[in-house]
Amino acid sequence: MKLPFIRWRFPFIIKGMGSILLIIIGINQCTKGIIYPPVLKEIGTEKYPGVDGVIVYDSTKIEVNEDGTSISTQHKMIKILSTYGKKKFGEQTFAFCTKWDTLMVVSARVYNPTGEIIEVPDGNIDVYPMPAWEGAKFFIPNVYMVKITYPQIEIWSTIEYTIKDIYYEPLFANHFQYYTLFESEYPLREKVVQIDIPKKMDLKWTVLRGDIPFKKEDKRDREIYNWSTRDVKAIEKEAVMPPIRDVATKLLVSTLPSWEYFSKWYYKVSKPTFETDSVIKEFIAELIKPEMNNEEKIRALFNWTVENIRYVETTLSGAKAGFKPALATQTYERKYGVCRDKAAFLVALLKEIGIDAYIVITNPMEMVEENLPVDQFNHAVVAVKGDKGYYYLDPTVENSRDYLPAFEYNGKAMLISSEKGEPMRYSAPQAPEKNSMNLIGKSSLDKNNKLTGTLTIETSGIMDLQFRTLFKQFPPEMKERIVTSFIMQSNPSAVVDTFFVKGLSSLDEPLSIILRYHIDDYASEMGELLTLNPPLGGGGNVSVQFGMGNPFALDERKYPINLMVTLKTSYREVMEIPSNYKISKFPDEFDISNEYISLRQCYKSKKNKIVINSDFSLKRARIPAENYPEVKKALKEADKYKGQKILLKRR
Amino acid sequence: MLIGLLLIASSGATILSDSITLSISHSGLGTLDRKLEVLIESQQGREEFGDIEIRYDKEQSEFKIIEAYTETEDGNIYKPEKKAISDVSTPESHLAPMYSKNLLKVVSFPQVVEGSKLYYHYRIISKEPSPLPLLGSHIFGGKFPIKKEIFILKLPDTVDISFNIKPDESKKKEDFIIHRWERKDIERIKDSPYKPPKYEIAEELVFSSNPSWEELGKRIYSILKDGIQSCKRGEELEEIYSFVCDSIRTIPVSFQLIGLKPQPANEIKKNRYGCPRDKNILLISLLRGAGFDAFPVLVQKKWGKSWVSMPLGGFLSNVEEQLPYLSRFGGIITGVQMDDGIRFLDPSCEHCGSSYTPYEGKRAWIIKKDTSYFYQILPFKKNRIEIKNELSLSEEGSLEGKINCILTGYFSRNFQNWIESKNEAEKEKYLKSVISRVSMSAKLDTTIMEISKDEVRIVLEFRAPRYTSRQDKYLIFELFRNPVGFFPLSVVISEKERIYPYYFRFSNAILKEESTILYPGSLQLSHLPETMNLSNEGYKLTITTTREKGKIKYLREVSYQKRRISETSRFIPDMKKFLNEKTNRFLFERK
Repeated sequence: MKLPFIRWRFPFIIKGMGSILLIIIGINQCTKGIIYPPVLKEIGTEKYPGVDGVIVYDSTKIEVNEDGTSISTQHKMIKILSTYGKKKFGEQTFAFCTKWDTLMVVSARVYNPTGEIIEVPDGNIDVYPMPAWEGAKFFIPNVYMVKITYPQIEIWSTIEYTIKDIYYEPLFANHFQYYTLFESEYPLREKVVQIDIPKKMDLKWTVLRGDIPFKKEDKRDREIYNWSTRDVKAIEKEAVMPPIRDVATKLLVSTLPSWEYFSKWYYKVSKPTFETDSVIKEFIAELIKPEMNNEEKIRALFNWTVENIRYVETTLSGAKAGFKPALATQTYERKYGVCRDKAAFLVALLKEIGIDAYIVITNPMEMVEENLPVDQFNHAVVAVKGDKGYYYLDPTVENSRDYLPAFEYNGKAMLISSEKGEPMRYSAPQAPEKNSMNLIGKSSLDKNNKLTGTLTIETSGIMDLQFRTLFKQFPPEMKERIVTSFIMQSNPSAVVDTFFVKGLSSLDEPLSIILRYHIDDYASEMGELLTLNPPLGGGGNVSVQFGMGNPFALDERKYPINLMVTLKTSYREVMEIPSNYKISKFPDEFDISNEYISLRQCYKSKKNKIVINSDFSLKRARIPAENYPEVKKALKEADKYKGQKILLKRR
Repeated sequence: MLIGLLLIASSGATILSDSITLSISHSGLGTLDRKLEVLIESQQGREEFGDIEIRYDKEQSEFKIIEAYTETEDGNIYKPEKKAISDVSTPESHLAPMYSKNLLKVVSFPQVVEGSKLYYHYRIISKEPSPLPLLGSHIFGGKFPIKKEIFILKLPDTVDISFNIKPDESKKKEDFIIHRWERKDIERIKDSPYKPPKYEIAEELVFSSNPSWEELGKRIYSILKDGIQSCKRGEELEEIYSFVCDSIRTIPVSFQLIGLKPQPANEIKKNRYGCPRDKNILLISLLRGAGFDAFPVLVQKKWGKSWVSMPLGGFLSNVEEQLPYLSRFGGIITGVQMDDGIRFLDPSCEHCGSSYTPYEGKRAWIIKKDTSYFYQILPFKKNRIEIKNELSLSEEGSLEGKINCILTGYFSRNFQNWIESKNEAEKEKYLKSVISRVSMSAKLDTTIMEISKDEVRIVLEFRAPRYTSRQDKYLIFELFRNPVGFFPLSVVISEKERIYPYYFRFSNAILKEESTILYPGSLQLSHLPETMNLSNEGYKLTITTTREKGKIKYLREVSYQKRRISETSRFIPDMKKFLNEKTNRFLFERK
């Protein structure tokens, strides 16, 4: 959709029929009077080597009204220093939702190294509904994207934009809250944030992980807060580091008095959605048997919600759109919803059977800083008050046997919403045994050097969830490939003869896989020796690769390793050797352990059988940077055993 | 004009009936009518069909939902509510809003559980006739099993149309002729890595009112030529190519989604951005301006979903024998007539260099003003990962040395596509990550990464103090395998049996690892891996080891000689043998 640019001074917003009609307005698109900023000449690859771009200037000015509405003006300039930088910065995209804000592009231009200044023509600013990505389940036509496509950019061009974002439907009436980062993955030459707010709103603020020069100015019944900084180095990304929002210098501002206030507010917003009707009551009566105890009832309702309400987001509607859940009756009728709908639905069911249940807002991926009540949430779950306090249930994660999946443990913020208001709480640490993969093998090497074996894979926690999701959401032939690939990781020559998956049809049963395999020409005959590994590989061979590489590759780290989960893998194998061979040597035993990691390996012999035991645990979901060296040391220690084999000698 | 339909298929659901009717009026306006009935059988089916997304161009066509509902097992009917029907943007409209206004009409069905049936009847009506004659294709089958699939073509009786498959029925109704094809109990297309394109696995119906490829070529040229303009930028081919490649930002959207009509070349040159179609039109314009004979070339679609498009058409291997149609052409590149043949350039293929195109070894359709013809693009002979390891092993099992890796062609391009988003510091960290695959205790002494258009060169000098360790007098040394670049090896053999032929994204490729391993005089080399030479049609797997005093030379080479390897070949067992752990295992004994 290309909307006409109208050369009026102020934005014009038409409210009608419960929806907002947006007009994007350009103010004075002429370059007359605009000069090439001298500062751009200072910025180049000499001063900023090896980067794709530099944020020359980033300013956000917010004017807040007493009712909580606000107008935010952002002015940004980015100088492009590489070919990839053209790709990265050649377009700038913003989003708005017609339920709460509207966005306008005030100006957009390019400064070329020749001194030429190019205004972005109207035709290069597009407004269109949010796209649906393959596999994603967000179909929200009232969220719009605004994209500026910059013409004529080359290396050393600078792009610039000024946008106004008008929040006419604040999340909290008569309040304001906001956060921003003062670091990014690109060098930042200057950043300014200014908030102009009525004094009576009593703004509080804090800066985390750094200092930012600050000024305050009084202006009659208003206050102007100003934070600014210069010459900030880029964050150098490391594999498996926490999200940038969790490590960068962050400014939080809020007029909300407390987290309790936030909690009470969300209770008021969500409470009406917990109402049930006769249809739901009937459904509960069919599902819940009188002889069930409370735990069984909770489990039955949880499992049903997980398995029968699919995840999808459609048009945002109603007040507090994006926060307010759908009515439980609607979610039951539709049999779909997003996290807040599924959570509210489960709360409704639990309340109906007399369980003390609450809706909770959280963020499984990023920290919610406790220091000030600012909205940093992106997910909703359920809390149940038990004898020992609250415990949490997440009905959104399909295929989860656990009430709370592993990545929501280990210190994730949980704000329970209640009538009296609740403080911020954090989820408990989780022991690695809760996310385990137990591999139990039995194999036999015959005189023709063929290894045949069975392997049982027992899973729990995140391992159960991962396998279950793969098996349930992919076609049958993929299941075979998943199982085959699993054993092929250690032995590319392995052939899976048969396999069977147990526990897939019900969340009441843990998932296990039993497979039979064979590997031809398995051991190496080396003169009098036969050398071999256990079927699933030797101990000490810890291979940890993530999308951005091995998090344990560096000698030192600046940022924590954010594994998100704890994990334990145990491997027990009983391997029968051919009768014409005897055991000459095993790989060395080792037991390496610290607060974060443990690796163990032990070989024993029992007549003509070898009994192998090895374990690997990641004990903490996050490894602080200062503790990283001890983890690295442990892994290096284990590494020396990697090359050792089982040595058999001919009798 | 484009009407798109996304077929989502997998087990977990059965398509009970899928009926498509394509009608063309006397004025050339098209209507696509589809009735779909699906039985949901599992969570997978629910995920696939719970929200049906259909692509269409809002400016050029009108979308009508005739009927949509879920019928549960107990016979109740549930219709989607208003807010569950939405128009959202397609991914290409987000990536390239200046080019595409396509939308997805999404219907989120209620009550989608196992045992439910979904019924969806929609109609897409074009607002304008297509600039091209009627040509198209329809593939019977998809990821789901289909009980009944019907394709109907309703045309004015004045249209002369040809098919590659005779209709099951053709009848006259007033001044229209209705052709009908019906297929029952179609098995689903299974998921398999590196499988051939869908049109080679399933039955494809092709129809065309165009008398010949020549005629169609003329029509296409007449559309494309509007973008070719007089413009100049240098005289040398390489210089012109580099300019278009590097200075004109690529907006990644295929002409299949936005049509053939290009933007004027001077506009692209001024704006410094363009889709592949427009970048090639600009390249042609500049080359002609420098006196070269340059012309557009249509090439096969890259990997991705295929969709029924109206009225575009497709492309089979013996293409001259097929009816002239377009749907399988997904890209446009540039051909330049040289003294020794035609040179093909693709300025939208980032990191390809001027000698490599992903369409190497494939059939292409050359479109010139007065003629068009098919041409076999020569296979690119340098899709390679070549590694030279110079290593030194100590008595105690520490390893040090140098890894010298060169990636070219397909592998260079893939690597560069991946690494371009990383700044210098991140690239350095990546190299440390690479060496950790050799050994967790390895330390890098020096690193070199040189990236040019045609190749990537990485040199790593390292020390791994604990690479392996002795067991009594024995030292078992397992040579690490290629730590850089991705070469398809074990991923191609993760199936027990192969249903479809292999179909690689290159016409040939080589992974070659040569290692020289020095060892001390205090160690005696007792065992080397066996020599191996496995080959069959399309592949060759080689291991050779030679020894001299204090030195081992080890060569491991995988060569894929064709794009396609038969499913009946011994490829899986041969590759399993080749990848056996012991093929890179050496035994030393302390003297």
